[in-house]
Amino acid sequence: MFKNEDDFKNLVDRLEIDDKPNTAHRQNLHRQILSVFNETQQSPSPPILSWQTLGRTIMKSKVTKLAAAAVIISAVSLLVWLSTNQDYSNGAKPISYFNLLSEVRAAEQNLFYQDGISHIVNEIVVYQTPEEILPEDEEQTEIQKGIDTAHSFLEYNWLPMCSVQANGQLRFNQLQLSSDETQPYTIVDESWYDPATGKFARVLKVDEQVFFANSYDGQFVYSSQTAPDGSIQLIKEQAADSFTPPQNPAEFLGITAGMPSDISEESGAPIQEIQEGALADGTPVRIVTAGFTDMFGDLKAYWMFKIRRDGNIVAEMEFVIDGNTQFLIRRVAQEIVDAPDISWHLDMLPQEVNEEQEEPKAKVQTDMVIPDVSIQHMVERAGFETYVFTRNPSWTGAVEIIDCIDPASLGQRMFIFASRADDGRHLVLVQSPTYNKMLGNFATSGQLVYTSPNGFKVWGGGPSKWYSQILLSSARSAIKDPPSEDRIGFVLESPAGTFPALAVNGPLSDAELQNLIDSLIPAKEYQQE
Amino acid sequence: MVDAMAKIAEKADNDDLVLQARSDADALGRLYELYYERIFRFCVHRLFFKEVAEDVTSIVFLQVARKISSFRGQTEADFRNWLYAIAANHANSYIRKASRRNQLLEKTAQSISADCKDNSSQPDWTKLYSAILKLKPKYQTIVTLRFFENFSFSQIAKITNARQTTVRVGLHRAIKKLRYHLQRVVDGGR
Repeated sequence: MFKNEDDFKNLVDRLEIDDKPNTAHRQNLHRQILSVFNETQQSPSPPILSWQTLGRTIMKSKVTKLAAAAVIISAVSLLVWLSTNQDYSNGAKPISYFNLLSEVRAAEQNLFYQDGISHIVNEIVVYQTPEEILPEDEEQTEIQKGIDTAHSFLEYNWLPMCSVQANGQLRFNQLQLSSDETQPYTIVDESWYDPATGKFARVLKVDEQVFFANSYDGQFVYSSQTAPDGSIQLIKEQAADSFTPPQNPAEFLGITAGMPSDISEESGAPIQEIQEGALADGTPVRIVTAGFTDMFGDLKAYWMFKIRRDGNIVAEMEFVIDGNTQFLIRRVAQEIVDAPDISWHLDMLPQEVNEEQEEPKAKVQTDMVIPDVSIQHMVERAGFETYVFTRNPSWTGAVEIIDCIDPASLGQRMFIFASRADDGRHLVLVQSPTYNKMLGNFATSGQLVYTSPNGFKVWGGGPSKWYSQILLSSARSAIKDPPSEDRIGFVLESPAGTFPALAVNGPLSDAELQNLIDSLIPAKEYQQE
Repeated sequence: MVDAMAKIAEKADNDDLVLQARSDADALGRLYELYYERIFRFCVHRLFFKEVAEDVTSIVFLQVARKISSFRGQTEADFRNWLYAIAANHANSYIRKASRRNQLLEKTAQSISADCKDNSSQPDWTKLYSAILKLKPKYQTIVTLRFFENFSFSQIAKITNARQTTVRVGLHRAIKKLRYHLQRVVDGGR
């Protein structure tokens, strides 16, 4: 057959393919294109874009709807999840802002505090992203290019997941799940927790192969790492003196681990529906649908939680985009055992590469989120021009910068500035490659509100309440309060051609806005006083 | 030396042709003549049957004729990337319709059966196409552009609006899957 690309090229070069064109077709088509061309020369110029036209452009094709929904919901899920999990450290009290999922998590917490070692098995069934159907007369507009580029993340699906580090801090990772398979496949997430000692072990497997593991044996913390050759290696680190065994295992081992807990009306988030139902085996459940609507008010992407009536435990979670299930996460086993099936120090690793296996279906990307980074860190990691305020507004406190993966721009990072204000008018500024690609066309079809002497343009209009809600929700860990009704949002256009997004959780006078924008400088020029 | 200079001159001429084609029918006609055969062959490599390739080639150039006046590219390379992007999109669109894909698979399977007297273990074009068709359309595009049209990774990245690393990884995956599918086709599985 062929061993490699060179072999394949040789094979192709030897093929006999009848690809000679038909002269008549060539000549006929020549005439037709000239006729069409002459007609277009007499046509009026295309209409000016408006928000409504942009909306129709987006809603015209399935792929752009999927992209718009998926980009937003993935970014939101990431950022809202971040706001939920960031505060965990060394056994601090669990983060739980609001009711529903907090109740569920509390119920699940009890599972881990039985007499004996808890053994929990969850499954993640990954379904395939449906093939996008391009419209017949697809226009290669800048908008389309931007959206198509942004939706390139659809090459894989992902879920947030946590692991514990040797310093006791949570590490925020991304579980990447291939959407390139022809059939659904299942990830097995298995964990053991000993409440008496705090020891735990967790392994994730696909096709019987471990691709991620994390454990604590009472002395050392173990984490897996994928080597360049694809083999799974183990990193062993002495637990720090300050390390405290995890007190809240449900936060990183349970079925809702990694999921947002602040789902309530007060948070401005997103319970859309609650109804009664049953699992396939007839077990009564409460079905809660939660998700953010897109800029057109449609609920295209959402989670469905099926919560058992007996015990308030989540039995299943289903993530849906545009009517298609992306994941189904379900609890398949929970029991008390005398000993785990694997050692607390994960001695089944390292694991060799399975030569017969195709590209791995799943892998873990570490450091999906890094909280509280410096400006210098942002400058070094961004890969695009970023900006900072030379002076914080008098009405806000210190700025916290969060570095996180940009879900819709593979391999690139997003930076969130969050500044809490005593009067409640918190400030959030988000800079990312995806926003740079996508917001430009939206912004410039809005209303120019202000042009600053430093070269910034401030664009308003459009669905500013919608995206300011998302930005403010994304920074909840820092600003604490939910988005207010009188929130306001703008898209900024920088001198470098980037498009940061700004939100304020309250009203902003013209003078305050201008002072804020005038104070922006390139982050690389910032000098700490 | 003379050849190199001639090539530079030709490139400059073709760049001018692209700029002129926005408003001049003759210039558009000359661009068409330059690229018709290449696009037709690309469509045959993607769609196997010449009559189908003719249809899609027509759609591609008619779209070019409608859109050339607003085309912002400055060079022949810009035009070529744009043209192939349109062609790839329309080929993918054709194949993505499940009924058409099934038709193509069925027809190629019939062709393979009709030629069953040829017991060679070396794949011919029909068998290879049948295997390529089992890949996802985006991988079919990358394989065709790389091995049939001989584009570089940089050119393919521009055409498919992806990063070069994405193209390289995609090609690597596609080759692995192709080897598997082709072996099955050669062995008589479908």
